Amino acid sequence: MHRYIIKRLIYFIPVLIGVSLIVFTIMYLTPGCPATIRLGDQATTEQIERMRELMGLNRPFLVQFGSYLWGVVQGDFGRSLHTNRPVLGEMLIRFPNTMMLAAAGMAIAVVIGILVGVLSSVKQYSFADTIAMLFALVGISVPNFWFGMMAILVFAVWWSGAFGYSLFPSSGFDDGIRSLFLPALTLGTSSAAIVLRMTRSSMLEVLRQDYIRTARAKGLKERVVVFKHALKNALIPVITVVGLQFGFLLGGAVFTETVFSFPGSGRFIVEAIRSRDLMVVQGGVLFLAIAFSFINLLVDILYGVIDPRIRTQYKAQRWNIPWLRRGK
Amino acid sequence: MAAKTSDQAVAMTTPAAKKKKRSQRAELWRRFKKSKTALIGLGLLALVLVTAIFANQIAPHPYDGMNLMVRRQPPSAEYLMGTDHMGRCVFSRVVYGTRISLVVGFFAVLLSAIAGGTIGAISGFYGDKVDNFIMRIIDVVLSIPPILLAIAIVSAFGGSLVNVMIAIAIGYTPRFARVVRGSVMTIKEDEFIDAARVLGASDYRIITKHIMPNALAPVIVQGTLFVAMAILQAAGLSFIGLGAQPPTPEWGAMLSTGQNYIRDAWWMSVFPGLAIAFTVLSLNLLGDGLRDALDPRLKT
Repeated sequence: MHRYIIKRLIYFIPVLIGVSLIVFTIMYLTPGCPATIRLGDQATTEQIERMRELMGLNRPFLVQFGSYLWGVVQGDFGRSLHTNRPVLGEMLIRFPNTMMLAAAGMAIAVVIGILVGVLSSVKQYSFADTIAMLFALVGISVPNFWFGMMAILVFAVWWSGAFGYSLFPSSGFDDGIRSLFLPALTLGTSSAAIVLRMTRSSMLEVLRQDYIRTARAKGLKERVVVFKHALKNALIPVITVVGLQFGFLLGGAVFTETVFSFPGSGRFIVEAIRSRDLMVVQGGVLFLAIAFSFINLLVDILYGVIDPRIRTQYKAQRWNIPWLRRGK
Repeated sequence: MAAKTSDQAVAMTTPAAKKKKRSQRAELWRRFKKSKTALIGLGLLALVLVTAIFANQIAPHPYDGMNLMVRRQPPSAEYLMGTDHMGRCVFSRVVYGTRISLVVGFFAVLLSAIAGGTIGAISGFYGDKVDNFIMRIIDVVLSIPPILLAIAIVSAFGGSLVNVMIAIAIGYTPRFARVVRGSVMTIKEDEFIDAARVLGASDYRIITKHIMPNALAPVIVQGTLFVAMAILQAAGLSFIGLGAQPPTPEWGAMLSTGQNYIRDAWWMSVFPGLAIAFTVLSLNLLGDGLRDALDPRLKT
C-alpha cells in the first residue's frame, strides 16, 4: 500500500511540471508584450526595454520557464495587473468557498445519483427506470449555468412574485446553507446524472452475478441483497467517477459562481477575464488545474484503500508471491 | 506497385467484398434502428440541421435587426420568443444561433479528431518509446479540465469563435488520441495487417488504408458525444464573455445578456437555453445509439 502511495506521489511531480509548462507556454505565446501592458501605452521604448529586462522577458524560453516553475513551487503564481496583489493569496481567500460549493454539489449528486441509480437498476425497463434514464440524459444535456438561471427564475423570481418571499436567495453567500442550496443543486445536477448512469450499469452487472443468486437462495430479504451485497461491490467504479467528477466540479464552478455571484475562485477568474487581467486568469487556471490534479491523486490513493484487490496486488509485488500477484 | 498489390489483396474490392461491406452497413443500420432513443436522437438532430441550413427562410426577422420601440416584448404572434433589450427578435436569433453552435461544435471536434487520430495512430502503431513519450504528454494535458484549458487559451489569444474552436479542439485532442491508440493497438495485431506487411505495404499505407478504416467506429461514437460537449463548452465560454462577440447570435452570449434581464424578461434566458439543451440532447441520444450499434463494448 505504501508502495502504491509513493508511486502515485512520484507520478504527481511530472504532472505538476507539465501543467505549469502548458500554462506558461500559453502565456509565452500570448500576443502583446507584458512589459507594455504593465507600463501602459505612454511608455517610451527605453522604459519598455528596461522593464523587459527587469521582468526577465529577454531570456531564453527554457530559462524563463525554469524561473516561473521555481516561483510556482514557492507559491508565486504571479501578480494582478490591476491591483498588484499576489494571485495565490487572492485564490486562497476564495478557494474554501469553491471547495464548499463543490462538496455540497457532490453530496447532492451522490445522494440523487446512487439512490435513483439503484432504483433504476432494480426496476430495469420499468416506468421508473425510463424516467430515471430520461433525467440522466437531460441532466448531461443542460448547461449548468442555464440550469442555475432557471433555478433563480423559479425559486427566487416567480416564487417571490407568487408568495411575496424568496424560497432561496438568488445571489451571494450571506444566508448560510440556504445560499448554498441553489448553486449546489445547479453544480451537482450533471454530476448526479453521470453518477446515476454509472451506478445503474454497475449494479446491473453485479446483480447478475452468482453470489447474488446465492444470497437470494439463502432467503435474504431483497433490501439486504441490494444494499448490502450488491451495492457494496457496485460502488467501486462509482467512487472513481465521483472522484473525477469532484475535480470537474471545480471547472464547472466557474459558471455556477458567475450565475449566483458566489464569492469563489471561479467567479474571481471570470471577473479577471472581464477586466482583462491576464495574470490572474493564468495564475487562477494553474491553481485550479493543480487542485484538480491533487484531487485526482487523492482519489487514486483512496481507490487503493477501498478496493482490496489493489492492496493485494501491491502486497503481492512486495512479497513476490505469484498466485497472489495474479489476484487469485 | 507492391503496396498497390497488397491493397488490392487485402481490401478485396471484389463484388463479393462490396456485398459484404453493404451487408455490414445493413447490419449496423438494423442494430441502430432497434434503439428507439437513437432514432429519436437522429430525428431531433435532423430538425436542428434543417433549422441551421434554412435559417434564412425560417427566421422572420434579421438576427441583428434592432427596433427600440419593441424592447423586451414578451412572446407574441409577431415575435414568437419575444424581443431582447435592443428590440431584436429572440426567435430569429435562436434560429441563426443554431448555425453557429453546430459549426463551432462540429469543426472543433473535427480538428481534434484529425489531430488526436494522427497522434493516437502513431502512438499505437509504433508503441514502445514513441508510445510512452506521447502518452505521458497526453496524461499531462488530460490533467487539466478542458474548460479551464479553453479559458486559459481563449483569454490569452482573445475572445472569438475561431479561438474558441481551436481551444476546444486542443482540449479534446488527447481524448481522441487515447481512443484511437487503443483501437490501433488491437487492430495492428490482426492477421490482415501481417498480410499487408508481407505484401510490402509501407507503414503509412498500413495505417491509413488498413488500420484507420477499422478504427473509425469508436471515433465516430466519441465524436458525436464530443460535439455535444463542445457545444456546451462553446456556449459556456461565450457566457463568460470569451466566445462570440456582439451582435453575433450565439446562444451562450444571448444567455449572458439575458441574465441581466431575468426578472422582467424571462424569455431572453429561457429560449436560448432550451435551444442548447435540445441540440445537445439530440446529439447525446444519437451518440448513445451509435455506441450501442457500432461499439457495444463501450456500452455503460
